[in-house]
Amino acid sequence: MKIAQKNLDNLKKFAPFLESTTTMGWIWIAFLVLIIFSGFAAITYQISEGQIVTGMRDYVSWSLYKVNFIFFMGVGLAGALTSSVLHLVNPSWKKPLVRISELMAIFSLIIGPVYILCDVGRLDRLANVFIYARLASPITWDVIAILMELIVCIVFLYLGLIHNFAILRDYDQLKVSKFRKRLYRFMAINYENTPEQKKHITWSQNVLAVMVIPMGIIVYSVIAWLFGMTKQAGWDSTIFGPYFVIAASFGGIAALIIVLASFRKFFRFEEYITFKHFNILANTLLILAFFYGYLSFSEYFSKWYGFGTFNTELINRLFDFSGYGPWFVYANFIAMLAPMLILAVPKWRTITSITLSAIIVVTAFWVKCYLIIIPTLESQHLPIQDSRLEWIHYTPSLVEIALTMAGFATFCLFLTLAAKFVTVLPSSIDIEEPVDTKL
Amino acid sequence: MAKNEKSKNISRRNFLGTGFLLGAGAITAGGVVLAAGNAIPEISGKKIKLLTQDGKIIEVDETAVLDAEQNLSEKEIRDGIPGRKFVMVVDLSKCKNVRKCISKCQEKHGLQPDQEFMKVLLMQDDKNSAPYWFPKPCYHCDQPACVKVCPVDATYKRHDGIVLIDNERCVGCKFCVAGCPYSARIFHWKEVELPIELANRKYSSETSVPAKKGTVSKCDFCPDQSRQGKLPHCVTACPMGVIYFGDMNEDTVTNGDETIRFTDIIRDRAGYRYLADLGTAPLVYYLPPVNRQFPFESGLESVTDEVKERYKNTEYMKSKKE
Repeated sequence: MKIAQKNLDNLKKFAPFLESTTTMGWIWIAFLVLIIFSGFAAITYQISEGQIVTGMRDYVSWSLYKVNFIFFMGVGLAGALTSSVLHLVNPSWKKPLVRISELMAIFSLIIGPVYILCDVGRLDRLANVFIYARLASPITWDVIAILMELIVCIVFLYLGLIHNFAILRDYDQLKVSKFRKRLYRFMAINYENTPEQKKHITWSQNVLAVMVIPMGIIVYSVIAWLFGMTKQAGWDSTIFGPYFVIAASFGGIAALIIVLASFRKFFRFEEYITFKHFNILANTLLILAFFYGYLSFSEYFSKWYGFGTFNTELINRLFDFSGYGPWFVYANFIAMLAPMLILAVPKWRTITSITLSAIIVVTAFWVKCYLIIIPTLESQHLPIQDSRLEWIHYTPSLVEIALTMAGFATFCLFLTLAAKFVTVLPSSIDIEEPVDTKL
Repeated sequence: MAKNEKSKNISRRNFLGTGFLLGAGAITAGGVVLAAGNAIPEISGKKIKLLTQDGKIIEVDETAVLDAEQNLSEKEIRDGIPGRKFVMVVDLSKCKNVRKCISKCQEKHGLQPDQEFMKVLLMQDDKNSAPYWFPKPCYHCDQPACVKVCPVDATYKRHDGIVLIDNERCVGCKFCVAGCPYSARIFHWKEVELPIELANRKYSSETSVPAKKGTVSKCDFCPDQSRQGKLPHCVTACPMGVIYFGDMNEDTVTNGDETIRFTDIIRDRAGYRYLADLGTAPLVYYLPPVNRQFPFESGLESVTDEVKERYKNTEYMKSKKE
């Protein structure tokens, strides 16, 4: 009772999101569910017919599924890093960001590995990955690392939510079903906000936050090594680990900006998520843009300058303006320059322009993932001599596109549903709190 | 070097009199004597002589010898044929793109016309150098990139040098397909259509038959043939005698017609391994296409239009058009 009383004002504001859904809300959810169903239909079709229904063939044997996998894992990494850094540094303005970035991280970390499952030819033998696990394979590293990160992130999120569940449990005026009330009670595990309970939770959160940072970096480096450990011209790179981590942080922070902007707009969080937050994230984006540009430059410049046979073939393919050229420019130059241009001039800095640059960066990050995988596989060491165009040049099939869209729809649906179940902004949020502008 | 010398000596001491490639060791290699306790079929009374691995001659009933391929344990398959180190030598000066190696291989492995374990590529190192035909099987590398990345040990390197796939364990992650720098692997994208006699065969990694949807296959160096003292299908199918197959330990390779010393031919003909600088240590050697027995163009005479279509993006075909 006590906990709820303290945050009554805020609770009254947040309660409507939990209690009811607007017509637009229902339409939105129905739309997402529809896309997800088309994804289900696609994967069912693929499982029954085999991967012949995808655009993949013997040379380009990895495609959109792997692209989406590294995309979502990247967004997950950025979300996890943001929430744990905010928790550790504990700036006064952190509250509106923490839970949203945590939710974003967890949903991405759940969706990402599903794409690996879509990519596996024999889902029925998945248990073999554990039964015959071979430690020498980067896939095994991945399985171990991702499972660990997922568990740590879920526990970390839950610890932060216990207080929230306790408030919802004690808030009598909340008009939700009895079942949900009971669920809140169950999830609150008798939390009463005693000093001792508070101490335990904070301590556990601190430990997990410290763990999440190196773990996130390791997980994403291991994902980078799925590629970096092979001999293929585009992948055989020593900087792939750090390059992936920086690119993912870059794209992931941009994704966070978009998610925040959406919540701000559709949930009317204007008074909580303010320009200051966007400004801080924009600064982060700007710094990461420099890192990203630097690493991209060193990766491709050294490949080009070193004029190795296979690297040159790949570089020619990437700079071919009748093929991947425009996309390469978009992913590497425009994505890097967009935040710089928009953010460098103070006058141009608005929430809209920041969100716009974030949209450019996120899409560029996805294109980047695509460019890392597909052109490389189209540039094999041995010439690809085949009379069938689809074996030489990859084009995504409808099945793959449907599953890609389903992934993004699931991400949106999860966020929407999460906002219906818990208060996405911690309900103890203090709007009067001064925002630190030093950054 | 010293180690090599030693293993050579041991192999010589154990040498079965005649090389297995010449066929004498076939029975020991190809047969398994039933151990006591196993179900023994009716005794026919007809005895055959066998040579054991340690050089003793034993006499057993004919019915006690089982078809090796059907009765190998998983461990025997994974260990490989004892004492062997298989090697292939491809003489590029003889190849004229007859593609018999491909069709025979496809027939024996139940592959579709668009699935090739063995490929014949039109190679031209640069536009001033001479084009040549380049048969490319799996290289069965000693440092196999595919084996390294397999998460379930479904593809493995055997002591006899062969890299095989267990398609009953393979999860179909395709990491090996992406990881192989020589594009040697094929994936079964759809339900596998096989002739009835192949579809009903008991699966063995050594035959790669029957293949399964959602798993990976590749050239297997036909160890089932080697166990019977026979040569791989591509070797026997080639009318030009391009492909030599043999055993490094015995230092002999043969294309069925002539048997030669492996070290001699590699030394005399400047044998090399393709893209060996990747560090993969392939077991397939090439003899450079010098003093050719056929003009290069003859390789385009007998092929179908579909095959010709494959080469259309090569420098050679482009310059020919002009």
